Amino acid sequence: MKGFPGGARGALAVTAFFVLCCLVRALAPQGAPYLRLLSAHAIVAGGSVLKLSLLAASALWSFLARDRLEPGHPARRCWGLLSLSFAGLFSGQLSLAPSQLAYGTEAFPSPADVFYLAGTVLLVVAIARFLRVHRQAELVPDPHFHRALVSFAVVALVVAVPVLWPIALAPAPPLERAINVAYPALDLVALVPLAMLLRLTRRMGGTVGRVWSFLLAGCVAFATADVLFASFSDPALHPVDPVLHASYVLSYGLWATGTRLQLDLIGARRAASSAAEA
Amino acid sequence: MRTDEVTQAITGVLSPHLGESMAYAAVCAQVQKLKVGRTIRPQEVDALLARLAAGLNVFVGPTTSAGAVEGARKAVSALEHQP
Repeated sequence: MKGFPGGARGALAVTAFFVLCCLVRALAPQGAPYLRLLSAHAIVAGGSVLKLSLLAASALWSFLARDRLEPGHPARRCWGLLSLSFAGLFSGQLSLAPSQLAYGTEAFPSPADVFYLAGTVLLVVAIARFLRVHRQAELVPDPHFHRALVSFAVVALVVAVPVLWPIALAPAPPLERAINVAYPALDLVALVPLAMLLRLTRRMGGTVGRVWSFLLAGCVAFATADVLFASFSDPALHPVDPVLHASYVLSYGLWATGTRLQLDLIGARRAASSAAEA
Repeated sequence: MRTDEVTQAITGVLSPHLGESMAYAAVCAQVQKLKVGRTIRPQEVDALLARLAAGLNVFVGPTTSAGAVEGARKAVSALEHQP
């Protein structure tokens, strides 16, 4: 983690520690003595605090990244939308936190889903705008852009049927089923611009490539977590499943790292150029 | 100045930001767009750096972008003064 600012290192370290705890909890044999430390309540409560912290950090750092770009800069609105998206997810997590901390449980569906759905829609819009802006930068020509776009859209449609069909047919109340379908459906919509963005940035290395690797890996982890969440037939299992919590914390941790690195990329260089001017 | 030398010099400066492969591809793409031949004139260097600055600006912001392009300008200038 050479060259990582403190915030990014901290986000990665706590994320890795929590994911490790969840994996131990998921893989440990029943009755193992150390499971007392990693109780279901501890995973849910610890995960809740961590999710809130990482989402707050992501929202703040992406907002600051937006703020450091002058009005009219092509990427300014993208970073603003990303910040709003993280703020929406944070609000959803915040409304779940009291019951998670006190009882280790969470209601589903709940008002939190309004925030989560709004946050996810904003995430899709932000990714699509980043794609447009990065393409318009024309650093490297992309003659096969439209062909790739159609291919990814077809793949998303083909994947949508087997993923969404069983969720749509699951024995659950209509509202619950609709929300369960909405999350992975939105993620599949997001995966098209996301795949295009990955295609555009896959050859990037250096500081820019590092930022986008973390942000896009976070989106992939988030989509995976949403599919896992929707795939559980019994919502009562949601709060205690450590793999589910690990997937969400992983995505939030990757986002926090990526946004902090972007902030450093803009901020550090500004300081360096001011020093050079002096 | 030889275009390939200028390309290499600018690539070296942009690599920490974009990675070597992407930096090289970006410089080559802009050289092709400007229809530069085997040698490059100072005005063409300016145009090339302006295009790269605009592209880089989207990813890293204007300050970092301007700093990188200034570094590239110095690298090209050093080529001119080579014996």
